[in-house]
Amino acid sequence: MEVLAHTRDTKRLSLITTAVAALITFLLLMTYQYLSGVRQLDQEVRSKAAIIATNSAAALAFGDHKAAYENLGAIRKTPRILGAAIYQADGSLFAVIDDPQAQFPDAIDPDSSDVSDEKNDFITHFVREEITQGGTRVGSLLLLASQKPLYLNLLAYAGGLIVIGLIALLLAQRFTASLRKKMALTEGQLEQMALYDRVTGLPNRRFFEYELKKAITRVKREGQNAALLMIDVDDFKKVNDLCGHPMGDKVLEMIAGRLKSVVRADDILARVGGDEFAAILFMVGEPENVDALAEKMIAAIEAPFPTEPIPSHVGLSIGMTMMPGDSDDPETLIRWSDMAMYEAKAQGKNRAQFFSEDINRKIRATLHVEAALRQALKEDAGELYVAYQPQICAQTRRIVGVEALARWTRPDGKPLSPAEFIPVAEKTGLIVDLGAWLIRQVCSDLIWLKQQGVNVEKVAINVSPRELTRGNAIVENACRTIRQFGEQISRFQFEITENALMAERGADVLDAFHRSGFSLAIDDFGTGYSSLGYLKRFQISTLKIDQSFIKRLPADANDATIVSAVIQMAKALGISLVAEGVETDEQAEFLTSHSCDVLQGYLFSRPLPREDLAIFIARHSATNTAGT
Amino acid sequence: MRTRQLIVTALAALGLLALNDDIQAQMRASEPDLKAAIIINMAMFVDWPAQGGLPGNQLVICFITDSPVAGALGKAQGKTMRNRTINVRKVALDALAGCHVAYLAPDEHERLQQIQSAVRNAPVLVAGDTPALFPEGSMLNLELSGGHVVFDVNLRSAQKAGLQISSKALRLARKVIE
Repeated sequence: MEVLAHTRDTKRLSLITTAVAALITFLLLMTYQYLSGVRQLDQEVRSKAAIIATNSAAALAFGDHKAAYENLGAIRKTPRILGAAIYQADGSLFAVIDDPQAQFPDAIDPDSSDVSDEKNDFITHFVREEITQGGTRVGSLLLLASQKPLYLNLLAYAGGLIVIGLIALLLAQRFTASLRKKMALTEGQLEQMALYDRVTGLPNRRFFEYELKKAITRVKREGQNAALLMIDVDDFKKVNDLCGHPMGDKVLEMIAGRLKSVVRADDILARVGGDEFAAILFMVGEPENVDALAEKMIAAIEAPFPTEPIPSHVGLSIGMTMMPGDSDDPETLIRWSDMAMYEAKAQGKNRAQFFSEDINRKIRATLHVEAALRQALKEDAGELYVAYQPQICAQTRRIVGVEALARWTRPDGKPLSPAEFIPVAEKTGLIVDLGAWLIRQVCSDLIWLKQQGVNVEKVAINVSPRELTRGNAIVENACRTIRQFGEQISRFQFEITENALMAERGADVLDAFHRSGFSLAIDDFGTGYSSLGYLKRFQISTLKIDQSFIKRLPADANDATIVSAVIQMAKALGISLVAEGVETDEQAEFLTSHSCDVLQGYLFSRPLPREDLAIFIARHSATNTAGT
Repeated sequence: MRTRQLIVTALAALGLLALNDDIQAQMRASEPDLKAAIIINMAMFVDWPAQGGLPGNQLVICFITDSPVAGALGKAQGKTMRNRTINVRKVALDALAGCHVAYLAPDEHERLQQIQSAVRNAPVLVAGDTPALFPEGSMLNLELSGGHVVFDVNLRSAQKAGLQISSKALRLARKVIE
């Protein structure tokens, strides 16, 4: 990962910097030592030469060799002077000592002080000093000086420097060891934080995306295949809500542990979102194997998680794509796996789903519907309209109200089923706009109906759970619209599914509806999680028993029992009961005989546009009056 | 250098090893030349008093009678030493006081009395190569000994004459009378 490489680079760079700094220091010190050594040596030899020259003047003047040799002998106390010679004023050799290699010339140029053409190499060189007496040159002294002691000195110095440096390094190493350990630990933690999820210890999304790119390259290179799984934990929100977030984190950790036990060691498992995991499975062979592994994952999560106050049950919705089969673009793979995962959720959750062209088409269609719906809402040019299904009093067969339902006819004249566009609206949030439009349209239709001389006692309007999450704004919006049209709030009833009661902020919104004077109905009663406590708490005025119970009436004994029990319960609680999906006279008969209050269904009428509704109401009341 | 090594080898082969290089070198010059050289060189180690009638830019070396050494001294005529030009002259006895250095030939022994009175209280370095003249007549006595020219110095009479002789020269003297 680039972060690690960066750290390594930094380390290497700091090492190089230190080494270069040490080398430069070393070289500077050595150069200084060399130059000062050379100067010191030169001074030493020159002062020695001056002394010997001064002392030798008389010996040379008087041609006294013995004295000359005695004087020259003084060099033996200075080891770095190897030999010495005295030359007479005319340049001829007068006396020489310690010249076993005959390095001193027989004669020198008396006028030149330059001896560079003589023996002058790296180790030894000549130093010439003129011998004068009373200002008169009487000869020259030539000393053969050796640099060897200097080099030995330098060598010792260099050795010393290196030893000191090493000792310093060793001490520093020891003293900074704990510091570096701490730094390494911090670096490790930073890396962990940057690349891994804190809760589960799994790679995070960033690391996962990097791994996915690598996986694609690997698949290409090795000619193998691999699978990408996007795994969403179903109903995880429930765990957090019931047991609290710390416990939720523990459950995530346990889920990660169980998933890990299913995948192989070299497969990649990551946590890419709150309750979302992802896996890359290498060398999977046939897609069936991937499916089998996904089933294994689902099975691994099946066992309840030990949480307080109650054990938690969650499921997995898994979307799968194959690489390189489906795509070799990481973003596409993720998107398609996500699509497949949503499809798995849509299919009822807790299942695995391969990405397919069908899904792709479906999702494209969804996108298309979304765009068209947005457009229709914006233009409000009659594509969308409200259909009203009459509700009939079981006893009197009088029309007691209507249920308002959104309908959509596309510009090409084809109707689009609510089953197609309502889920899309729910998913995209357009349901909020659709809800607002619906209330406006209902109000305007009521006015139109009134103008036609038709009065509707009550209108029931559906509220989606998604709308409830928006809070009281929906209630305020409904009140404002109704007041604008001069309608009465008491004529409106809002229908909510059982599950919406449990939705986030659902309770607050229902309270607000109730306070504002709206009556509330529970839609599709019997299909979800019902709490009788809620019925009382929110002062529900109406229950709409789901059409699935009505369908097989009166033949099916179970359904008959359920329906009659629900009717009795509602009666006991003082709640009125509406039966949906009444299609036959037998059903109507049964419900009426069991004291059901209101009937709704194709037996009486399908949902009608306002024009047809006006006709239906006029005709119905005429027949009804005629009948009685 | 190689040549020198060859010569040394050749000399060794001739059985002349007893004579070392330096003696050889000295022997190349004649005895009067050597003596004259020492007399002139000695002038480098002598300080004459600043006052007195001696010319400051000259080093006057005098002799009374001709001799081989006097002839050798003459060769140094016109040379420069200690910023002075060497001026070698043959002078009359009574003119000796105007010289820096006076060389006495061996046969000057008979005139010692006159000479002594001529240079009395004058800063003249009296040199000679006759043992009989030393220490009464000459302050610097040159002698041939073992193939070398050696010298003796009568420091007492030199100091009396106002001459300062460097200890460097004195160190090399065979005998110094104080």
